[in-house]
Amino acid sequence: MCIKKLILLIVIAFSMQGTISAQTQQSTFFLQTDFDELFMNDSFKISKCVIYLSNFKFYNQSQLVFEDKAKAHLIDLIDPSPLQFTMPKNQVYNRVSFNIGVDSSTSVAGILTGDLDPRKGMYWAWQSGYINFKLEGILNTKVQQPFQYHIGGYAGKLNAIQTNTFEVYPNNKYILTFKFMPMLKNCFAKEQFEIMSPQLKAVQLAKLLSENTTCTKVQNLSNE
Amino acid sequence: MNKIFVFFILFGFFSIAFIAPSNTEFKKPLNFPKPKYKFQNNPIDSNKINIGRALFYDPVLSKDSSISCASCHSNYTAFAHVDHALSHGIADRIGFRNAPALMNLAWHENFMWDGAINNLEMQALAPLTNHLEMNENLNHVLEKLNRSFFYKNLFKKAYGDDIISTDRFLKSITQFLLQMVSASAKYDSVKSGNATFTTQEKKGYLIFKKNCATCHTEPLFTNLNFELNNLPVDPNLNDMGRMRITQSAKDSICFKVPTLRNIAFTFPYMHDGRMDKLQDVLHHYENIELLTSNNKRIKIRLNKAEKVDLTAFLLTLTDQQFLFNPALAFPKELLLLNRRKNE
Repeated sequence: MCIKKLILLIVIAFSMQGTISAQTQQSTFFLQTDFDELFMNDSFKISKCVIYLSNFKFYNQSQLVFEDKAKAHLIDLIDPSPLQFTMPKNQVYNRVSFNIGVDSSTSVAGILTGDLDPRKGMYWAWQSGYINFKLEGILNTKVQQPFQYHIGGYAGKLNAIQTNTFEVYPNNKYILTFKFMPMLKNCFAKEQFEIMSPQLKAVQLAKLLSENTTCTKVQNLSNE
Repeated sequence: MNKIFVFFILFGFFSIAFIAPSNTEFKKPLNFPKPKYKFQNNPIDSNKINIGRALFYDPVLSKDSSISCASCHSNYTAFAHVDHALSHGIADRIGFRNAPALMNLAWHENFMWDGAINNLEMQALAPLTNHLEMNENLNHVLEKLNRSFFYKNLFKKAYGDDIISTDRFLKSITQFLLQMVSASAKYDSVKSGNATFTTQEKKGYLIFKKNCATCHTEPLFTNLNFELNNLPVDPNLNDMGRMRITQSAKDSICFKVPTLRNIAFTFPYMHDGRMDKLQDVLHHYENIELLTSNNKRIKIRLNKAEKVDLTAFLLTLTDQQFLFNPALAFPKELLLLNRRKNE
């Protein structure tokens, strides 16, 4: 078992000890990537992997029952903290949806604070708009090849935001896994090592990441 | 007991006086439409305008403290960079577009010749971080400002504490930019019934309405759209205009329509400053067919006499009150006298 997975399990184990207040319940998502094996065989190294997740909404069938108040969460996927949503006790839901990236209304809203502060390095100053996710590293080929993918864009055909929906239930914890490998393989095969602006290729890569994002249940806590 | 009571009353009074916002209403000119800027997110306050004004004229925003916003946007020339086709940033680096004149920004939704910037509050970040302009980074600028007693005092007065954050920094600059309202030209006086055009100006106005008003729409004298002006691409700059942002072929070599207000002062003209004189611009448009962004085909035909009359009208768009407004000029007292005391 690789070290990263071991750490994730320890984090999950400790988080299970937490108490849930009488009036509220928490919906928890642990976050991870699919980089472990590649760190092991040293074929490349990731130096930066940050992502905006936004607009978390919980539904019971088609009815919206809970909406995250935060406009967006900026997550460092190399060392991620779990995402936790506190909602009223006994709130029933069976589905969650969220965006990978920042939506267009937030992108045109002017200056924002917290995770959306341009100081966080996820804002294109030369062309307004947020970078939905950044992936940077070095590919260890004959020569060390740096790569940088800054994927974003919010307008028209260059809108790279992606919405994911998963089946989830109360009193459970889940792991969201962002599998970047299909996207990286796609870029490496075409020797495309830099994407730094909104473009159709960025939309295609954002779709690839979205299609390869999974949500799996950790453990049922209903008997706690 | 009474003394304590009086003390608390006085303490409360001075505390409130020190941090209370000095609300100032944004005055919309009567003949202007409703502004696009969302003032409710950044209510106008004279203390915040003061900060924005100091920052606009302060070269501290550039990496080597040599260039301020005003270096390329002089108040005496409607905040354009007069006589510079392309502006120069730090270390004499030449940019790739003409610095646009700044006025009536509250009515715009996007900024720059290609509309790259989608909100006035974010505009300052573009020149600040451009390596050809100020070549700075936001974190470093905020560090510099947070080390300055002068700015910390100004922010404390405006915001109640001396923390200089990104939103306070950008909102303060925005407040100053919003003050750049030009609506007191002779044209405006005529419209409000307080002046009359000369015969030649009146003729020029009719020519303007027939040939130019589709794109240079009154009262802002821009339709705020991106239009094709049939100028050939400069091979050295290879500037594709709006297409750079949207990557749509229909936006190829389309540029944002500049306002004609104060046009006598904003030379050289066009997105790359290729035309030095107003007559060069009129020469370009004297016999031309244009397809607008709304798919309207416009034929412009101007003879020599019409160009003279049109020029006479365009000169009625000069707004002396705006050009020489002391509230928009270099804040000598603030930056030179107060700063010296504070630093």
